[in-house]
Amino acid sequence: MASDKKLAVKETPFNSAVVSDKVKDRGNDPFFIKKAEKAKEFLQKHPFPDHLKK
Amino acid sequence: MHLDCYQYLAKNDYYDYEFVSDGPKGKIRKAVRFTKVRDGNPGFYNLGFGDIDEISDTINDQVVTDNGDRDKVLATVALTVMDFTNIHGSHYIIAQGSSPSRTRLYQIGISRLWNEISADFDVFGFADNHWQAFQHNVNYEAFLVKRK
Repeated sequence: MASDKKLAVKETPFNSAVVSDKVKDRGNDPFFIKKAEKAKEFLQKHPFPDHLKK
Repeated sequence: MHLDCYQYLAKNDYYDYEFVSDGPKGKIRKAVRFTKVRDGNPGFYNLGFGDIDEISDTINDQVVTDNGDRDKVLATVALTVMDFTNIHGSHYIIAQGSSPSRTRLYQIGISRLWNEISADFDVFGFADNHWQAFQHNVNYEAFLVKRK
């Protein structure tokens, strides 16, 4: 599965990411959690309308 | 998308990205994180973005870096969206600035890079209490992008 992901990135025709263990997993970072909660609340309050979905 | 951008690194799950802004104010590490905020196919993910404090290793999106590379930074963030959606699917990505003025900067940046961004993304903005297709010179509260 992981090799499939890497292959998909290599096939992109533009500058794409270099995978590095130096990048920190910030999934539990309070900053990003707070931002996500804010976005979630925003979308609950202002749902994206079906007529704009493609 | 052919834009001047920084080389960037990704964690191997492609939710986390980092790059270094290099300009008159020095080298400033930037972090981008995609966080799911609504399930579905497509789902909705928040794009979080900010400077990495080298001492505390925390993220700060309040600081005005003013490193003379605004478009290059925005182009790099746009490419992380490309990578993320390549790997995880063509989900909706929502982005909001930390303040109205910061959101306005995002709007200006999108407008400046419109030809490149609109070639690959459908872009929407929230203003006047409804979502709409992105228009130049409209002050939006939030943005949604989706790969075409």
